[in-house]
Parts: sequence; structure tokens; C-alpha cells
Amino acid sequence: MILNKVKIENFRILRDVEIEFSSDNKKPLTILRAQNESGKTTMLRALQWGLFGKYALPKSGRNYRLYHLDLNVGDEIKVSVELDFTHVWSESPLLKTTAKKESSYVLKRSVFEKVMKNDDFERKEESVELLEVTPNGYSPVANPVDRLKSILGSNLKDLFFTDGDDALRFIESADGNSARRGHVKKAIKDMLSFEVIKDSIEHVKIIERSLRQESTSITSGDAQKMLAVLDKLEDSMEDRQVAIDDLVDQKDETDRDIRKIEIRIDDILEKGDKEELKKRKDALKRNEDQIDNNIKNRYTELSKFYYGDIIGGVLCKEKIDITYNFLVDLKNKGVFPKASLPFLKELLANEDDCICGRPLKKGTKHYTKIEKMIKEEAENDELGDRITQLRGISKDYLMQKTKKIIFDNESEELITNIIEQKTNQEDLQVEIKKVSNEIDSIPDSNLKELRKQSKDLTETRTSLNKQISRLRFEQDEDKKDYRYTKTQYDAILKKEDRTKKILSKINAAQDIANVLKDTYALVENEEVPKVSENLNNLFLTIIKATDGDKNLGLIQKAEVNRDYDIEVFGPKNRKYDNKDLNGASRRALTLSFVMSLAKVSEFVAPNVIDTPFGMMDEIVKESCLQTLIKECHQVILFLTRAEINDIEDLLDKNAGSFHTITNSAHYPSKNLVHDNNSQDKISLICKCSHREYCNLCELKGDSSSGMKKRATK
Amino acid sequence: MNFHNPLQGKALNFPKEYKDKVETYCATKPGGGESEGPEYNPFKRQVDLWFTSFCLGVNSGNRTKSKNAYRFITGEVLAQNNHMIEIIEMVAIAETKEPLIIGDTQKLADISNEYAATGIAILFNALKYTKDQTPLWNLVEYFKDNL
Repeated sequence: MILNKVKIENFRILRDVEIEFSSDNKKPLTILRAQNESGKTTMLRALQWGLFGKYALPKSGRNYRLYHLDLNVGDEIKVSVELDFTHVWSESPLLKTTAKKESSYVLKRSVFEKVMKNDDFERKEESVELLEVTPNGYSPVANPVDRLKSILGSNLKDLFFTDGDDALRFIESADGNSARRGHVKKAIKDMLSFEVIKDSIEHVKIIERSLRQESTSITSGDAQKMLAVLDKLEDSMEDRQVAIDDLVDQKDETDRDIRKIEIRIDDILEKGDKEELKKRKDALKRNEDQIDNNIKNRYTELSKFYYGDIIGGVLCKEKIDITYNFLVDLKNKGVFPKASLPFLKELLANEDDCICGRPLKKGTKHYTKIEKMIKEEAENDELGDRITQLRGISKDYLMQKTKKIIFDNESEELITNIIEQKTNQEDLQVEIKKVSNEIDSIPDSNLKELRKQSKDLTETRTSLNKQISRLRFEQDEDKKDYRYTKTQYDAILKKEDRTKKILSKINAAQDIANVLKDTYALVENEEVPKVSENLNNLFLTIIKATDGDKNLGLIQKAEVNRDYDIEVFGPKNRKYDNKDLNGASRRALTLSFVMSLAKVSEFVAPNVIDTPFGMMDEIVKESCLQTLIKECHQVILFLTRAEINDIEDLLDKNAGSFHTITNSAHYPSKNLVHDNNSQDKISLICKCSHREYCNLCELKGDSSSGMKKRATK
Repeated sequence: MNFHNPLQGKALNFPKEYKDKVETYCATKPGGGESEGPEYNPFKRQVDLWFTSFCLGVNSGNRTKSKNAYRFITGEVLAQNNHMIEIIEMVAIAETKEPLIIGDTQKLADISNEYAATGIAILFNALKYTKDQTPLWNLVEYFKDNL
């Protein structure tokens, strides 16, 4: 469908608005320039209401008034939207190679609304008129609602009318994951004609059954019995298939849960297993305690140095030196040790004459004197031994223990060892702290609990697999029985001439059903991956994440997975939560999905987008617009002046229609220069482009901004 | 194993002014309290601190006759450390040039206590050599700089 023109009357602040859209292939853009609160969203709603009726309005229009707030209680007004569009279609939507045809229509939707007290209203039944443009003029379509349904599809509103954040429901949903998947699944299945195929299969089955029922009246008793068996088997197979599908869904859900848990386990293990980390911390702590003990022992050794023999020797070196020399001197003089004592004892023992020639008999004066000398010497012998020892000791000290270098070396060795051990200890303490922080960052018992959950889910999956296998086996058995019975049944019918005609009809119905089933499988297996591939290419192109084959950014891939989830991946295939993407990327992802689906389905429709570039920078904005121009048949953009900045040249080149929407109530408070019925508070439409202004739309600063003033009547 | 100990039964003294401070630097605390480890209590016993004081006193060459000394222990404790007795005896011999001084136990005790009385002041300065280090590291620094 391509929109050509819309005429809106009395739709909220759109009192009398007419817009022509560009339907030129080479200039597919229609630009509606409007500041905030000018009527952009209202115009989007008016277009949606015109095409789809009250179900396109918020809450199906129950609390959504259409009348202008300036109306008085009791006033009644006719609200109408008239759309002129071209429907591009193919006679066989499933065969894409078929040539497209075009039909033009005028759609008129109107409703009467009466203003009631307390902002309430009474709305009458909508009136819909669809006129087909024929060579002979306008031809009313007999059943306009059904025709519109076939023209518009059930998802056109959601897919092609992108209303700000509402469009984000494909990638994030306040209603949860299943709601989000539901939106994506529905959009894909609608656009790729899944429902059409499914409805067709059901329809053919009903025909086949009715043909069989019809055949019972003209067949024999055996054939009737077989037909009853076939019906029973068919019912049984259908019930079982429902059960299998249900179990497969459960299994898929379980698989997803297992995958999620495994990812969480991987995340935790990447950070570290808490138990392992605790063991590691304990080992490090033991090591640190050992080093602490070593340090204490080394400190004790070091402290002992300061009251040990070496420090004593070093500090008292001078005195020890004196003592040694003194004692050596005494030795040399024979004072210590005394050499005379053995000699004197020998003299007394012999009682001979003394060496001097005098008699040395006991009791003599000399003998007594020598006896006294021997006694005194004996008394001093113990001290003499010690003095002799001290001579040797002092010598030892002087050789080994009074040298400062020895003290310095030995104490330095200990000090170096202490410093090294302290460095090791500090390193260990840092490591322990790091491990402790890692432990703290891991939630308690998460891993244990997650492993248990994973084990439980794996058991559930095994049980589901068993049930599925059993049911599939039974299904295969039934299928064999069915085929066998059917062969028998067909053989009987063949023998009976009167049933040949009906048999050929039944066979034809079965062939058609088989073709449709194959088509359904083909669409699901081949077309959905195509949507995913297109989504990926478009998204990466818009956000400038690729340069040819080279991937440049943190976002590396986007896909629609088998569960109909739109997912975005970064380096190492790490999945992003879509909520973590920035606003521009989320918008780009949504638009990419819509464009990819339109491209794969080859559905022709306008992309009507309200303020798409609000969160985008200059580069992404330009790339997004280029992609829209390239991929879409018709693009209708509601843009603020800020969004237009930086893309003016692209608009010049690709836009075939420009309009500016202005709210008359913006005079003068919101920089509107001219008063054009400011009391009425209505949307004013002019044909000014992004490079023009006129008396309707001029804002303060326009005249000095380089824009051109457009002459108006 | 006990060694020759001429100071057995003799009083080992500190000047009274250091009475409260000595324990601060010793691991053994007769007055009660926990040792904070060798970094803060570099001397195991008071006699160890006394010996280092003695050596520092000898090194300074000055003896101080303290009028207000107190006995913190008797000389029996030295029997476990023969190097202390050896050095005391060698110092006494050098001091008096009289080898038999080692038999005059009182004289030995006097000489030792007098040198210790000089040395303790030096040692306490050494233990506070820098403001920001522990006593043991202060000793290390002091001896590096002054020995």
C-alpha cells in the first residue's frame, strides 16, 4: 500500500488538514516538520484510525476523545479521515515471483461524537466507505471492512506505524519476555503469511473430511467401517500432535532455562568458584602466616644481635685489645700461668739440697717458705686458669668478634631477609585482599543453587524427551495404521465405480494439504532466518558497527532467534540485555526489524515514523535515514527542527513532499512569530520545507538562520 | 649449662630514673603485660638491655657512679650468657691492669654497673633514634650511623 493523500477533519486539534504524500520511487520521503505539541502524534493517530478504525486508538478508543477541547457540552461534531491510497498486490501472495498489480482506493471513515459533561463523550458507530478507482470512475466496494482487512493485513498498524517508544515492544516489553516474543512472533507470522497457510491447511482438512462423510452414503459397510477407523486415527493423531507440540514447547522452554542458568554459571565461574576461591584464600593465608612467623623469628634474631657477643666485642674492642696484650705480656713474663709451682713441689719432694746449695730439709726456714709459696700458688690456680682462658678468649674476640664488618654483614643479611619476607608478605596480603574481594562479589551459594537448578532442569528435559519420543513412536504407529487403512479404503472405493469421482476429490484435497504443510515448514525454516540475517545487516549498518566485512564496535551481531527473541551480541558472542542498549541503538534495532520483515515479505506499505532521530547523533542519524530510503517503498517522517539538523542535504535529495505542522497556540510563548487564530489552538499546515518558513510557521530566529521565506496568499 | 660466673649473688643495677622505662623495651615484663614482639621489645630480658648499656658505656669510655641505683636482678642470670661474663671480665682486666680483679666480684659488679649507668642513656637515645620507626629499627639505624 502506498499513501497518496489524506484529508482530516475535526480530529482533535486537526480541524481541516490535507496532506499529499510522495509516492515517487526516486523521492520516497515525505517530511512533516513539527515542533513538540504541534500535532504529530495526533496526525499519526488520525492516519491509523482512518485505516484501521477504533481498534487503532489507545484502549480501542474507549477513553480517547476525538473532538476538540474547545467544543462545548452538548456540541456534536463529525470527525472524518479520507485516505487516497494505492494497494500493491499479487494474485498469489505465497508465490513471490508473481508480478505485482496495483489498485487505487479512496477510504472514507467518519464518526459523530457528542461532547458530554465531565470531559465525557458519546460516539456513534463509525461509517466506512471504500471506493475503488476504476477506469469508469469510483466504484464502491461491497464489503469494505473485509477488503480493508485483506489489503492491510493484521499487523500493518503495529509494524509500519512506528509511534515512538511504543515500537520498542519488539525488543523490550513491560509485560515480560513472553509478551515481547509474542509481538515478534505475531509480526513475523502475519507478514510471512503463516496464518494464511495455516488457515488454508485447516480449510482443506475440513473439505477432505466432508468429502469422506459424503462418501459413506454411497459406499459399502466395510468402507464405512474403515472410514470410522480413519476418523478415529485422525482424531487420535491430532490430539497426540497437540500433546507433542505442547511437550516440545515445554522442552524448548526448559532448554532456554538451562541455557540461561549455564550462562550464569559460566559468568560465576569466570569470576571464580567461591568455594575454590575460599580454599585459595586459606592457602594464601597459611602461606602468609608462615612468612609472618619467619619475619618474627628473623626480628628475634636481629634483636639478639644487639645484646650478643659480636656487638659486645665491637663496642668493647679497645678494652679487649688491652686485655689481650696485657695477658700475653704476663704470660711472656711467666706470671700467668705460673711455671714455678711444679718445680717447687719437686724440690720439697726430694728433700735434697736446694739448687742454691743450701740444705732443704723439712722444718727449715727455706722449706717452710717454699711450702707457703706452694700454698699461695695453689689458691690462685683457679683464677689463673681463668686468666689463661681469658687470654685465649680475648684473642678469639679480636680475631672474629670485634670486627665491625662482621657485625654489619651478619646484621645486614638478616635485615635484607626481613625486607624480602615483608615484600613477599605484602604481595600475599594484596593477593588475599583481591581474592577476598572476588569472594565478596560472588553471591552466596549461587553456584551451588544454580547447579542444582541446572541438574533438575536437565532431568526435566530428559523426562520430556522420553515423553516426546514415546508419543512420536505412537504417532508413527498410528500413521502407519492410517496409511494402511487408507490404502485399503481407497482400494475398496476404487472397486466401486460410483465412488471414483469422490475418491479423486479426496486425493486432491490431501495433495493440497501436503503442499500447504510443506510450504508452512519452508516459510518457517527459510524465511525467518532471512529476516534475522536482514535485521543483522541493517542494524549493523545503521549504527555503523561495520566497515565492509570488518566489525568495528562493541555490538557485533543482532538476530531473531528460534524463540522469536530479538537479541544483540557483543564481542565473544556475549549477549546484551536490550535494555542496556542506548536509546539510538534500540530505535535502530526496532526499525531494522520492521524493515527486514517488510523486505523478506515483500509487503509494500509506507513506514510512518514519529520522531525517529531524537536520540541519534549526526552519523547514526544520517546512516539511519539512508537505510530507510534504500529499504522502504515510502517513508513518512515526523521530524522536529532539531532532528532535521545535519541531514538537510539528504532531505533535499530524497524528499518528494514537505509540510510543516504548527500549533497556533504556540504564539507567542513558544517562539511562534505570527498570531494565526492562537485562541483556537489548532494545528496549521503549510507546505514549507525544512529550508523555508512562512507567516504560518515562522519561529523566532528563522529569518536570520539562512532559511528562505515562502510566499503565501 | 652453667658457666663460670663471678657475679653470682651480686646486684645488677640501673639508675632509678630508668626504672619505669626499662620494661618498655623488654619482652619479659615482670610488671605484667604482653610483649608486642621484637620490633617494639628488642630485648628479651632486662639483663640483655643492661648488657647492651654496659657495652655502650664501655665504648664511651665513661663510668657513672649512680647514687640512686636500683637492683633489678642479681648476677646469677648471667650464667646463661657466658659472652656477657667474658666481656665484663676482659673489660675489668683492661680497666684495672690487674688480672686477679676477676676474683674481686664486688669490684667487677661495680665496674659493670657503672658502665651500664653510662650506657643506658646512650641506649635510650638510640631506641628513639628516629621518630617514625620502631625501637628495633631505631637500633639498626643508630648502630649503622654511629658504630
